[in-house]
Amino acid sequence: MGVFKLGKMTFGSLFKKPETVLYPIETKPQPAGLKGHIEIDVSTCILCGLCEKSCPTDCITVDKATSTWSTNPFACIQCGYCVTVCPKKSLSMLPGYHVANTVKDRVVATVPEKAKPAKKADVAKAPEPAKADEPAKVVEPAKSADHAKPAAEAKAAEAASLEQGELRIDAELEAKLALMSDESAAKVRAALQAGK
Amino acid sequence: MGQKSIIPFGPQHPVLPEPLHLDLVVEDEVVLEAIPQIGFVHRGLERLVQKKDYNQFVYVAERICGICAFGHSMGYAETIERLMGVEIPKRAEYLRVIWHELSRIHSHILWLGLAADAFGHESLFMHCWRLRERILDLFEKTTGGRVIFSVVKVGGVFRDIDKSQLDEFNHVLEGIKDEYSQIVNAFLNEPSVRNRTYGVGVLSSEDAHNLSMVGPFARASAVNYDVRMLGNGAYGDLSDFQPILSNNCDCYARMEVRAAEVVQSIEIIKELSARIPDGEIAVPVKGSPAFGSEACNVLEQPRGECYYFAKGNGTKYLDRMRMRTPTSQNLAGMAVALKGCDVADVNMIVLTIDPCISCTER
Amino acid sequence: MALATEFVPLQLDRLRDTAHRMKDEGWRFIQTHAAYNEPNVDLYYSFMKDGNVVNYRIEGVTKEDPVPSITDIFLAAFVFENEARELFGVDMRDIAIDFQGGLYAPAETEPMRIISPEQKAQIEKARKAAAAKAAKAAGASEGAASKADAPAAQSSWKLSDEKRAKLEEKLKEMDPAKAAKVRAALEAKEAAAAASSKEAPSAAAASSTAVPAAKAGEASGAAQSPSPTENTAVGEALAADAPGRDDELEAKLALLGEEKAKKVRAALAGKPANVDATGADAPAGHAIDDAELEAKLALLDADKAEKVRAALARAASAVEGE
Repeated sequence: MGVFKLGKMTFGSLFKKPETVLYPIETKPQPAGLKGHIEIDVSTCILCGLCEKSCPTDCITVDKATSTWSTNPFACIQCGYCVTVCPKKSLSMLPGYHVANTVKDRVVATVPEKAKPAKKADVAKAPEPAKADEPAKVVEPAKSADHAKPAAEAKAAEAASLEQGELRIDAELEAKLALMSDESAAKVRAALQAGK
Repeated sequence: MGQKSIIPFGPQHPVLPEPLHLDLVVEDEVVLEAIPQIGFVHRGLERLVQKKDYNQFVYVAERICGICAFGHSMGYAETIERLMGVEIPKRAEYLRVIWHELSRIHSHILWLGLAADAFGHESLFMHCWRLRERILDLFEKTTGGRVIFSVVKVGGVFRDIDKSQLDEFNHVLEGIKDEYSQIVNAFLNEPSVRNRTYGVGVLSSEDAHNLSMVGPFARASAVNYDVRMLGNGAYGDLSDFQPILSNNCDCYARMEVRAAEVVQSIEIIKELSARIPDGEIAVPVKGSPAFGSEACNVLEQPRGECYYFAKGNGTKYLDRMRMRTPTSQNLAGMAVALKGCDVADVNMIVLTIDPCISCTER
Repeated sequence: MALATEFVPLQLDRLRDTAHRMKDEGWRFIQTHAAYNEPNVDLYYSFMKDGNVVNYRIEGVTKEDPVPSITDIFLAAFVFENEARELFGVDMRDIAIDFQGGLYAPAETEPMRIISPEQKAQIEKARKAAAAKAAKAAGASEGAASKADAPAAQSSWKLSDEKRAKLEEKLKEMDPAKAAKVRAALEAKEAAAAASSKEAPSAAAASSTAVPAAKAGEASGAAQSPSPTENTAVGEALAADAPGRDDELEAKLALLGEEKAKKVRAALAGKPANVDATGADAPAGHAIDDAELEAKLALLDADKAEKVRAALARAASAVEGE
């Protein structure tokens, strides 16, 4: 037992570089996997809204009407759950923290309406949608075209609803098929093909 | 003979990391009785389980406490896996344990720093926290977070640690060993530290057992109990695990036990990272916990045994989630240990149970 | 030794005896907690010895039942007993360190007893599903004897329409494996419905008809329709139409035998023609499909999602061909 057990360490640190950095002149390098902020790749986003549903703090809002995806970086807890549930892998968690601000602003991204109708256009012969690589503004004409449709729909509400019901069934059927075992799914599919 | 008086201690007090209030009944300088009072930071997180689905609640669970964040997410996920009968891949178990032991190291070094601060050894405090910073850097590199990691999910983990990172773990941990041994030497052999801790706040072995104390607090009173020795998950693959015990039953013993547990954790990480199996890091979990299903689980947090209970109701929201954290158990032991001590030692004794009141109240 | 856990029912009047016995046998007290089990509270007392965790469950503790404290046996229980009293309204007596309701001092009395109507509806649904499942399982194993149980199982579905009742009947005739599949499909659907009802304003959740309407309204929003009245008209028609068809479809899918597959084929054969006929109207419907479909796909794993997508593409080209 003796006194001054920390002597070696304390004197040693006189001649070492300081452990701290001169923030904000110097900043610590951020490692590659750091959870800093979410970024969205609007070219692949399909506005499915899963990220909105899964977010534990409800900081993500997906607005299908205006084709916007927005997040509140001040509510985000960087858990990364949205990144893992995204079916299109549009979201990514990147280094770089959101800077402090005097107002709690939102980060808004407009999703161009291209990728979505690509499949549907074939199936349902939809009016010409905005092209894939055109910016979001071009969505406007497509929108107005859509506006005209419901009027027609209203007239034949009964009839239209029937078809929509069928279409819904189609989509749900496919989803359910996927949940079944391979053999049974194959059987139904074969039956479907024959039917067409 | 002096007169009996009551000294209120806390919830704001320089030595308390978290809000705990004690009514100290004193006569002269001696504490006759200490009545603990908590309830200042109740956040209703157990209630929140009815509003967030069981996958989202992992992120709530790890926010119960800033220091044992990883342990809570791990314990919660294990409970849900028990509830739903999910078996996670071996590699995920190993990764969880490696991160968990790493967070035990950071928690214990943090506590040593706080203890140094409590008995007024400022530079020792700073050296401890300087070392802890290295551990946090390791977390930052592998999980993307320094305190809250968000890497655990029901069914496994989100991120893998590759070979080079595991090597870096061992390299860094080896690197801090030398400095750490100097710090521990100061804690255990410096006369000024000994004077403040030796024979202070004694909780006898029988009391510790009868009061069902947990964690290093109990092990310092020679209670041979550590959840890790039950061999849950990857702990079962350890070649040898013996809880670290001490017979001194005082503040010094608690410091000794925690100091030795850091070295033990370093050895566990070294052993597990050498034999970690390859393979998947997560399994998909589908469906919801069945109606009326119940499961419970225990996990050794840095502060001691933590108990988790979950009850499903057939929806994706749980009916009830219960987390009994080590501090709430140890409060009773603390009240007993405080009896008969000097007023000047109260802060030291309170600190040696490593109180985490946010955990306790959730 | 590995961790072994069990849950054991216990009578309230046996509580203190049990606690004494546990103490004498050297068990360690872990914790006490309450869980709301409407309209009463369940109390859990956990003990541990050598890696065995025993949870004693005292069911149906009412507000009037005085619960004796065990803090004189295990002092560590004082936090949990105070907590059970404040948050659940359990009448705890003689706690060693009694905070007199001042532990958390919650703004509302007994906050953990409050359950929102939406939550209640969801839990009720799950409870019925579980009961029906149990009855079904019992019926399948007991064979002929099950017929007596069957009406009970059926009546538990009384919330839903007649179609569902019919479906139940059909299920009973099937073999267990198939029936299980149908049930799984139904459950998935219910979960989806529950999720959508949660999104709807809380008032809407109260009435069952309002829920599909809200859902449909949301969907039409996706299709960028400007007029709310038209939306509702279309939406309601759609909603009224869809559930019935769903049930039929699910029943058929589950059967999957050769003959049954024919039925599926027949049911679906008319559809492509309809799609063509309705040209302009279809896109709106499809926007709904797509959003939903993608959402569902996301829930599946990668391989299956790929399969579904491929199948969709095939279907699309088939329609195009016509």
